[in-house]
Amino acid sequence: MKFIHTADWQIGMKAEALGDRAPQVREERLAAAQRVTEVARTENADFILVAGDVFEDNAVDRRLVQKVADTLRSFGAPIFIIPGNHDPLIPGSVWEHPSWNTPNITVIRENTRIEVSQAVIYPCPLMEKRSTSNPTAWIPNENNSRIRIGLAHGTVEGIRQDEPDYPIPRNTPEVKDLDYLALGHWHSYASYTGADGNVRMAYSGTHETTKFGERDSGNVLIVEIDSAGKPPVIRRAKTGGLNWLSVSEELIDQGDINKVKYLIDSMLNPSRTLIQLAISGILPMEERSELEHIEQMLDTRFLWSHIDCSQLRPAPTDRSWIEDLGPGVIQETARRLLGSSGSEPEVTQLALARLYNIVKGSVK
Amino acid sequence: MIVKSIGVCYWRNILHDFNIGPFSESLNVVYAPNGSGKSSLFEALRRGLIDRHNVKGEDIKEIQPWGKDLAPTVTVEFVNKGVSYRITKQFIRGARSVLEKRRGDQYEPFADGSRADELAREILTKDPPSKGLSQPGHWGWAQALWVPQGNMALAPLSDELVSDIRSVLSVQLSSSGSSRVEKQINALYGLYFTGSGRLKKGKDAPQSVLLEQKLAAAREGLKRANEGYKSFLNASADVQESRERTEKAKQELTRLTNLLQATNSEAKRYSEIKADRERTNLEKDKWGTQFETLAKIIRDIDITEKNLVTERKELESLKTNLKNRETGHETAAKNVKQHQEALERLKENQGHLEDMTNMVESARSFSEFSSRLSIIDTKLSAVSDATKHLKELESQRASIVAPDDETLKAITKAITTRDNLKFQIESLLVNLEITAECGLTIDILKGENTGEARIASGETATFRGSPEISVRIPDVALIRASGPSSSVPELKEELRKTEEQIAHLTIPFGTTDIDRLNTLHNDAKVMEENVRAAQVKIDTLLGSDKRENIEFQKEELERNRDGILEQYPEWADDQPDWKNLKDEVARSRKLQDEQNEAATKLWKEAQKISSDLDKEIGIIKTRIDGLGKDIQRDENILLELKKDNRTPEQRKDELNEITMSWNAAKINLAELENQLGKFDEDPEALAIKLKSDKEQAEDFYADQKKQYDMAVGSLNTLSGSGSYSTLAEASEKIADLERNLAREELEQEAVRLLHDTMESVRKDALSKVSKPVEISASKTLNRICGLDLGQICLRDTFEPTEIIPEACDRNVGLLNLSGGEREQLYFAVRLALAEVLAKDERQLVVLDDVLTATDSVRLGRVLEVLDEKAKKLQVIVLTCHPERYQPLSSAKFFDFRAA
Ligand SMILES: [Mn+2]
Repeated sequence: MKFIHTADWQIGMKAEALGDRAPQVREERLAAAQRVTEVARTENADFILVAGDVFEDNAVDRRLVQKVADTLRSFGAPIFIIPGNHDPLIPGSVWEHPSWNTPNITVIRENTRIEVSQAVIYPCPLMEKRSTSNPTAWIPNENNSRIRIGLAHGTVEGIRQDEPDYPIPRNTPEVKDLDYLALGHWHSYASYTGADGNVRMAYSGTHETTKFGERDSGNVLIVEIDSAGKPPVIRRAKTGGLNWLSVSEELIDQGDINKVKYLIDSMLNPSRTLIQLAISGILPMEERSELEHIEQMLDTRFLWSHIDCSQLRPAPTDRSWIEDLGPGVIQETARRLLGSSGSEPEVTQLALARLYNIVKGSVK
Repeated sequence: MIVKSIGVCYWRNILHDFNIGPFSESLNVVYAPNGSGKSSLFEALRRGLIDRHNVKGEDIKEIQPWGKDLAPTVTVEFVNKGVSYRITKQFIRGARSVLEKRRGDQYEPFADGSRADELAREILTKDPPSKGLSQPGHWGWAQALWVPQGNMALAPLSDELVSDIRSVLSVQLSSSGSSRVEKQINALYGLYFTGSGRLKKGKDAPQSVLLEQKLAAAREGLKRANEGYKSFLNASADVQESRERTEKAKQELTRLTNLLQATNSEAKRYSEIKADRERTNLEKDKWGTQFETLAKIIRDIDITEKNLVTERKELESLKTNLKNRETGHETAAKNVKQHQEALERLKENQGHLEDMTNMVESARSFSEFSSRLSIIDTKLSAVSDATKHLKELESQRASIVAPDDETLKAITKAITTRDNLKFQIESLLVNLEITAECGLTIDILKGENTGEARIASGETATFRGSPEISVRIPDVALIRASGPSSSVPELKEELRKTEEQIAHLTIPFGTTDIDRLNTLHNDAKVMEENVRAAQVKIDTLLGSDKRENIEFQKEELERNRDGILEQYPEWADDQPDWKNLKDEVARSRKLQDEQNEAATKLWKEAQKISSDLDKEIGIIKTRIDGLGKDIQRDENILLELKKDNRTPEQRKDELNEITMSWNAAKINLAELENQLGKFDEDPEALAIKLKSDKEQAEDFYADQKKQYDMAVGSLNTLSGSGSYSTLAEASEKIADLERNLAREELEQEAVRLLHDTMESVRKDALSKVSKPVEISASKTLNRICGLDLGQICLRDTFEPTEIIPEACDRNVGLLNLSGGEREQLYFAVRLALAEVLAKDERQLVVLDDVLTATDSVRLGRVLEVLDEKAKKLQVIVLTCHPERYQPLSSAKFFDFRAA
């Protein structure tokens, strides 16, 4: 038996930092959902398990609900969805939408066993945003020959938390005699090896990366179990469409800025890449125009970019152009700016750069 | 540059060739009275050095002598950078300009026309007037160096001059290349900020302002989105709660419906028992009433019969009693009559007793009158005797004439005066004693007596006179004797008057002898004392009364006594003993009163007995009447009670039967009450209450259901609106705007920093430039005015703006200074600037009629300063008060009129 384990699609997610690029990033999460069904179809999976947080919030635009339902319906095979803490089963939730009245989609609304293929599924839907109780507690230890699969959304004990957040004991598969426990809530892939040395519990992670620095996200899990008691075989398949890149470069020698420029220039697929570039070190005044060029490249080619120059300093020996000014108001102005230890070095740098531009006659 | 000489011709009121000089290279004083044209000299200097020779316009025409078409000409000899020059300019008609340069002792042409104008002018200014006459702004260095008539104040200096001063002060503020940079920085700054450093507004506003506005709008949008999202969450919670409440309401309704059904059947049984009880209770009451009625009749018959027996017995007893009382009453009446008669008899004795009392009173009066008459008679006879004695004494006194106290005193005083006068006169008289040895006839010329006197031989005659005596003894001698020259005649006149007064005063007494007069006075006094004593005796006898009154009293008493004697004539010879009579009458009266009292007592007692009996008889009679009526009434009642014609036994049997039925009803009732008491609560009331509760629960449920439906409706609307997505978009928009704004602000702040830094550098540089001038000018000012005015502050363009007084922590504007101090301050600043400009070469300073507001003490100090500064400066003072500059011993003086 083969099925797809996915979770935390966070459809309608807010991406504040991305500003006007946020709609594109949001749109990509829907496309990734489509890719999940494609993986399922390619793998010929028996069914798909979605372990909560399909939607970012119960108050997302209903058109998104319709789109997700349409995408899943096109898959045809059974899909089981549990509401997560972001989209719990409350009055007015996304799950009241009529689009869920689709034969192959089952939105789980109570703690009750479901038989499908050779398996029996024990789903644990969430009814509220927060709880300190274990959502899997209800799962009974029944005697049957079916493959027993849990479907839950919560935090595996051991992850540091201020207060328990739908805590799920580390040994749940053993205690509940589960062949596999499909988990959602944490966005990076994580698997847990049981006492018998087999992995019987895993977070699939989100199907499309949600932020910078998120480890092992943008995948689904393909889980295969031959029969009850047999260890599951788990593979990962990529579904993420966007790259979230954090790059840090330090300028040490003259001309280093050109290396950075080359790096940026040679990046693949920039229109599907979000990049955070932090440049530190020393930049001679005459190379500042290169920095501005990099900024322009980032701005025009990439889906989204941010450049952080707060750790960038002008070269301390870089005074020749000031000496060339000859004595007078402007020279003294430049000296003061250079020597200032003001609270806003970025402002000072820029002021110097502007002065440099004017002096060199390259003012706009 | 310094000036050697100035010459003019046809210049305003100067109609001849006029030349003044050669000037000293240090101090010069040109003096002339007002209106003699000395300021024209200053004007000519300016025109000669600065103005173009071919200048046009009305202004230049003014310098032409009035009403004459003559060409004004000026010639100035001057030395610049060690070279001597001469410039000659003719204006208006035949306008020309010639500049000559001295070589050896000859002037050689150097330049002419506009070139000559230009070369001369460049010495002072690089900023020539374009056309017309030059205004102070075009004077170049002369703006600071030359003071036009009376106008010490400095107008803002031209840029050129300021820059020259700065360059002398060796400050390089800007190189040629950097002014472009400065302009571009200012232009860049102008893209964002106004001149006063605020962000620009309106259509010129920089991007950041626009972004701020958009951001504010976006934040407003986010706020609304947040509210929408919260509404959704609240609505969801509402539905959840409402669903639970509705469920609870439904359960409650079901519970009440079941309970009501059970209670209703219970209530039916309860109401049947209650009806039974009602009926039994009525029956019980009926028997009770019947019992009460019959028992009362039986009781009433018994009571009434007993009453009748008692009443009849009392009636008999009363009748017997009445008879006894009536007999007693008759006896008592007789007693009363007897006692009344006894009283009337006693009253007849009363009259006799009154007559006796009257006689006693008359006897008493008679005695009193007699004794009073005898006292009065005695008194009257004593008075008569005393009066007679008084008359005798009075006639004795009348026979003596004597002076009284006052008269005696006056006489005594007059006599003393007279004696004094006599003594004085005596002492003043000159005595001339002549003892004749032979008979002499003497002619007395002056003396008391004049005339002839004869003195027999051997006799001595004395002559008296005052103040002198003069006698002639014919053929022998004229003898004159004299004494003090006091006025004897006046004293004599006074003596005469005094003697007249004494005579007048003593006439009545027949003597002027003072002893005799004293004796007379004393005798009269003794007699007067006697008369007074007699009078006192009479007064004592009479007391406060008068004699006439006493006599009148006597008559009245005699009349009263005679009245009594008419009634009782026998008392005339034998006076009655009225006290004895009085005692007798009192005894009789006492006896009489005792008898009367006893009789009255008896009479009253008899009367009381009689009236008491009378009252008792009345009472008994009334009671008898009352009893009669009671008996009648009771008999009627009995008749009524017995009208059923039954026997007492029959009545008793019936009462027993009624009692038994009554008791049976009571027992039934108790049983029914017992049954009812077993119900906890009135099931009928409970059923009613439950019915109402159930209705309420139905309403409540319906209400909750309705609320739930409404909450669901409103939630559906809210969830349909996708408020989270709106919220997300709004947050993203804000983040986007914030990022752009940060970028814009960074740019903006960098430009501001660049500009502000540059401005601050410039300001610092400029403040350094003006410092030496400030110090030098302040030093001069302090020398003139003392230290109080403190430091002068200059703008970076060297205009004075304010001072920092020594004793004040605040700066003071120039307008707060006095006119004189302001003049002195500008003088100090001008000198300081002149010193700067004269760093490389001596320079000309012109002071035209200035320092007029400066007092002589300070002027003295000004002159000291001038004297000192003249080591580096050529100074030409134009004045109409040469004496004020007299102390400038080193100065060269020029009389303008003499030139
Ligand atoms: Mn979650």
